[in-house]
Amino acid sequence: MEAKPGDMLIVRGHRIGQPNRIGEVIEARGHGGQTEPFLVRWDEDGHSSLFFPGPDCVVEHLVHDRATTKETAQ
Amino acid sequence: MKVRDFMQRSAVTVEPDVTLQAAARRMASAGVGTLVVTDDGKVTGLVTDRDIVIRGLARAMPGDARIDSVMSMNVVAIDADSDIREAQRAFSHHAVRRLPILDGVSVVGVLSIDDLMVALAEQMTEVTRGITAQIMFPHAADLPPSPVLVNQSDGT
Repeated sequence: MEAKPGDMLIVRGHRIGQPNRIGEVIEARGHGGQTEPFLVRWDEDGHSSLFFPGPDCVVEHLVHDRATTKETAQ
Repeated sequence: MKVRDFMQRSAVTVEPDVTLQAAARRMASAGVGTLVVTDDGKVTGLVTDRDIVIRGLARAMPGDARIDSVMSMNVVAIDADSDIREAQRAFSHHAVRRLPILDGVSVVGVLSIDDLMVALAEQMTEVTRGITAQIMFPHAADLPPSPVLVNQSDGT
């Protein structure tokens, strides 16, 4: 799995009532600075941990979106 | 203190395609209850003896089923150079009982809550050594009689 700092990571809940966990990739420590382990800051409580996402995780490339927003603003 | 100082033994790793039986034998021979599943050196999951029983045996999986069918994914890990308090936070926030210990990107060990408890208990014994002696053997002070108050202002 590839992700860059600034990307959003969504870990799906697997039981009824278990919410998704959402976090921001702070650092990709794997090869080429693109792969796991990722240092993730979790939205829930703002704490960070090293994380190896499973195949059910979704990465949203927010950096790209932000850049687009910035361009539009200018 | 760092996580590295609390590491009990090196990690036992298996590839995702080993069978349940091979993984169980690996646990037996290495004397561990947790295996780190790595694919090409990268962590993909954790599997415990309980996973083999509950997710494997209880569901009538054959002994030659792949270990990655019973492993836990979305693994939270801890850096070997992190402070031990960070591991405590990770245990509490993620409700996990084991954290693979990483040195860079490679797994070097597994930190369990048990390891942490043992280590912290030892530390606490060190910390409380002095006061334990005081509590066990309290010594009553041998005080002189109370001083008599003299009022100097009345000139007597």
